[in-house]
Amino acid sequence: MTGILQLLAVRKAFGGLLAADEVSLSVVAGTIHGLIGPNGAGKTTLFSLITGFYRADSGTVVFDGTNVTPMSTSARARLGLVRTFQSNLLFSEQSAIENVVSGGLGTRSRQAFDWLFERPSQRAAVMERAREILQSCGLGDKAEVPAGSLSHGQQRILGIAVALAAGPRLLLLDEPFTGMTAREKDALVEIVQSIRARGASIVLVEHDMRAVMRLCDRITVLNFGKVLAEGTPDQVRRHPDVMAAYLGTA
Amino acid sequence: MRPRSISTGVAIVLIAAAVLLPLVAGDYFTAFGTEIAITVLMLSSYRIIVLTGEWSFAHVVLQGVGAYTAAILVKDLGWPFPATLAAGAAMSALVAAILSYPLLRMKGFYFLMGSFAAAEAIRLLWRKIPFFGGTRGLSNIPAPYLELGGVSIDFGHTTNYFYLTLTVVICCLLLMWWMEQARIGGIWRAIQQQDVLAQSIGIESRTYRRLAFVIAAAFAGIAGVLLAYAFGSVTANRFSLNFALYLMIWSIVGGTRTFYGVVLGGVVLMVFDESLRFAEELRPGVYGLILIAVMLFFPQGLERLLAPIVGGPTKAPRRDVVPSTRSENA
Repeated sequence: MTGILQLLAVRKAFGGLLAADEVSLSVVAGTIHGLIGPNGAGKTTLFSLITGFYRADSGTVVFDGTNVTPMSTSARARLGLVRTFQSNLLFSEQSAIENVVSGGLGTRSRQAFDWLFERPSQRAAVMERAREILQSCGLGDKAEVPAGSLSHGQQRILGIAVALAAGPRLLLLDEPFTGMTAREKDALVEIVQSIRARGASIVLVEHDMRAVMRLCDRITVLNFGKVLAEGTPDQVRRHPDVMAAYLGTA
Repeated sequence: MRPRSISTGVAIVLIAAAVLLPLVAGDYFTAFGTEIAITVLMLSSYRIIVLTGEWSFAHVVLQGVGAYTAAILVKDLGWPFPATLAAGAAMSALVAAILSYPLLRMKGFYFLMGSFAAAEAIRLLWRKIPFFGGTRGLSNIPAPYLELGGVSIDFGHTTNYFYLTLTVVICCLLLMWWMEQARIGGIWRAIQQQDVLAQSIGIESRTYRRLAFVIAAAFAGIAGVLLAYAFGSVTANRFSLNFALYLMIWSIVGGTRTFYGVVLGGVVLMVFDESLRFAEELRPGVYGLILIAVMLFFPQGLERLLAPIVGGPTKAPRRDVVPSTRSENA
């Protein structure tokens, strides 16, 4: 088992609040890894530490054998470590397909000066790929719709499509199921599974336990910035500490 | 006809009108045409910075860097016109690159204030240091002169210089238009629309913001060189905050979402400016009224009036006219 992502004793404090207290965890390549915990457990902070939006106070983040701890967010993204956002962050002035095309802007071929001399033939290939991604996310018929005019659920899925355009090897999904209808959730479960089937690993932060239990191969439970438990969905579900954290102790 | 071919048609008509201007207008209006062309170059290069989501007060002073560079090189060293043009662009780009290190650590309102401080510092140096001619600036800049196989063209002639300026400006506009279509244009737009998302998909936002600032400055430098020869003199006051404000107002009035928006705003307001020459002291007030009227009635700028004809954005979301106070890496 090879870990595509490893956190070694990562620590981050905001003033007196320890949002990540010596967190260590390992994501196995090709798996869907859940990250759950009560509100304020430090899930999103951990996300931001993994993707470089925050710098850890101490500890190491290793992605696919590379120590990415000192790297910027965009440098990590170019290595294949791409995240989505809890809020619907999109290029709001662009259509769905333009959003996906923009999603590839930072990671497309990186020859010198190709940012200035991109050929039209390359542009056709880029459009084709963007169309494929939209199709695979079930937004094929919304290509020309302005991002701001899509429904909430569609915007959330478009956010994932934008991230996919960047060619992630590890995709971090931050509460993707929030605010979705039951049907949209079912569709998204399939999309996430198909992303994994195409070879990307996934880290999933989510409150929707049904979705988490359906999707995840392994789950890490956080509470007050600490790892509370880790294991398969079944193990985690039965773990006494997890039940106490969620339901409170009698 | 597709919108694209219509806008190409409009561009051709505009260029043709500009080419014919000296034939129908006298020297006075031809010289004014030269000034308009230089301003159009300033505005469209300023728009590159705006594309990345920033508003700068330093652009006019960076134009001044180009102007002073050309004036010094041609007066003291006798460099030919093309060399001073390249040197002016390079020097402005260099100064912008140095300024970009402290300035681009800021965004929005803070960037705006920082750019103002840096620009004033440079401008006051010109006024204090004798090498730059002090408050009187540098004058008696010789006009460019071209000798080609027995034919000699004197660009001291108003009409000739107008055509020279027009050629340089059109080449620059084509170059900028091309950049905007290239991937870098897409990257700039991505940064403007959603900086955090852009970083998450691998765009090194600060690098590309710096690139925009430096490239825009190079074009401003060219505009400065053209201005130095047009007036035959360079003074620090020509690059004061007033002109930086005008540049901003013209951009907002014209609209910055499309290439033709800023050009439109520049041409309309310069003609207007000229017609107000008899009432100098009224100008700031009138500008204020225009700005308020445009923000009330055409919040997207004058370009929205042309959108149905020329194409471009038909439905445009809110734009930050006043720079927002975003914090770094929120």
